[in-house]
Amino acid sequence: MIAKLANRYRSQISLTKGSLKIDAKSILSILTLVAECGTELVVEAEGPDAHDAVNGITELFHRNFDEGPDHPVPN
Amino acid sequence: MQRLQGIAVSPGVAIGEALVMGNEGFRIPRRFVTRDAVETELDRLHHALASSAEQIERNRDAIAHELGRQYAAIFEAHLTMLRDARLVDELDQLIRERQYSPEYAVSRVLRRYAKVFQQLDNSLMAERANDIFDIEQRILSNLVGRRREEFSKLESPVLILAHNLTPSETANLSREFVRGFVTEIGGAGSHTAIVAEALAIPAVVGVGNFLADVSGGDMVIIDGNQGLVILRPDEETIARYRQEAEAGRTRAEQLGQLRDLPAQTTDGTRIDLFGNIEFPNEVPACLERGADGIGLFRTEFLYLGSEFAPNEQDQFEAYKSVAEQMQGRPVTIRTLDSALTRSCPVGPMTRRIRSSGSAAFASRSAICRCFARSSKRFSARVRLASCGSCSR
Repeated sequence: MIAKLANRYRSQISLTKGSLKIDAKSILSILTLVAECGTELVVEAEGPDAHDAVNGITELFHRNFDEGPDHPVPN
Repeated sequence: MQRLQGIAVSPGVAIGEALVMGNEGFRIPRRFVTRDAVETELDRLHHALASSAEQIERNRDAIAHELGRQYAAIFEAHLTMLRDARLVDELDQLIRERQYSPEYAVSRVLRRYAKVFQQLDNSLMAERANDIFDIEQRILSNLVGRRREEFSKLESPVLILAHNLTPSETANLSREFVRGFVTEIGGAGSHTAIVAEALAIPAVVGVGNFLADVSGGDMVIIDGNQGLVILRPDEETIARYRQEAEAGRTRAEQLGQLRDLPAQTTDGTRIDLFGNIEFPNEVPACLERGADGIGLFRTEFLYLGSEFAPNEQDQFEAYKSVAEQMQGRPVTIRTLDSALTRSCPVGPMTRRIRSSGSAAFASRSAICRCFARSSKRFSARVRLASCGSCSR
């Protein structure tokens, strides 16, 4: 889901967990990040639509991946 | 470099390229491609990726239609992985810069991802590894396409690595190109082990799960003396094993020099040395070692080695071939060992063997006539063993 959204932007987008930094457009890379519920991630983007990209991705997290209102929103 | 311990079932040392037998049983043909072929190979990869995506889309739509959208989600995930730009970049790069074959690149990269998932302490993520294998198999089958080859059609020397080899698969191994094999399961008494020994190629069984750690084309050493398998050995290890293999050959040559000496005790008692065989093509090896005859020709392997039960003519040809090759030396042929049906894996194979077994016994007298004929025609001393009710 993250990768799908990330691929809509032209900027390079990365996710960082601790010292691990990966390409947010690659589902395989995201999977290797093993971000379980509650993990803190840093979203970075570089490019023409960098601002929108970061907002779009963080927005997705805040909406809890559109998985319904019953789930608690992670910080 | 990775070392694996298994059960040594057939001695010797083999060093070479791995042929990984996946569930679908195809092989990964080449590890490297020539520089001129890089563009063609990249095209081939992209075609295979496109076909794989189409197949997954079709599966997704079919499942969504039959079971509902949520069940099709897994295919959607596969599709996203397959279209992962980073993955495709990685594959392109390996082919372009390291001249990997598309098959090798796909297997290498996807297995690396699978390995990461398997190591995660999270069962949900470990499950993802199976998705990766699924994708790998799909791309590979599209790459290899109709060129899917069988054991008997190998063109270059390989070491076979498989989860399990059925007796018939083992029996059909190309003797020319298969230099050894390793299986994840299996024990010392299995038919596979007997056949490996008969083929005189090193074999290690019961290694445990390791196929995820290896790609077709990887360098592998099989140490059939110690029951060791070494994946991607370093130069030093290769050098050491080359030496060991060389020493083995030298010893065999030295022993070979004794083959024409009569087999007799110091007080002059002559002992006949016979060889036991499973296939007619083992006869030359017996003759090379100076065998005085064939002590036991286990004919059940004629059944295991073919898709269909051999008819009377097939059997006649096989027995005739052995008798002819032995040039008048005694040959003992044992009819189908019915105990075999018990040691065979349950399933269609067992049924086939049972029925072909009874067919063989039904035509027993015909087989006896074959023996009689062949013994007359080639003046070979052919004897029929364990044929209880037919002792003529």
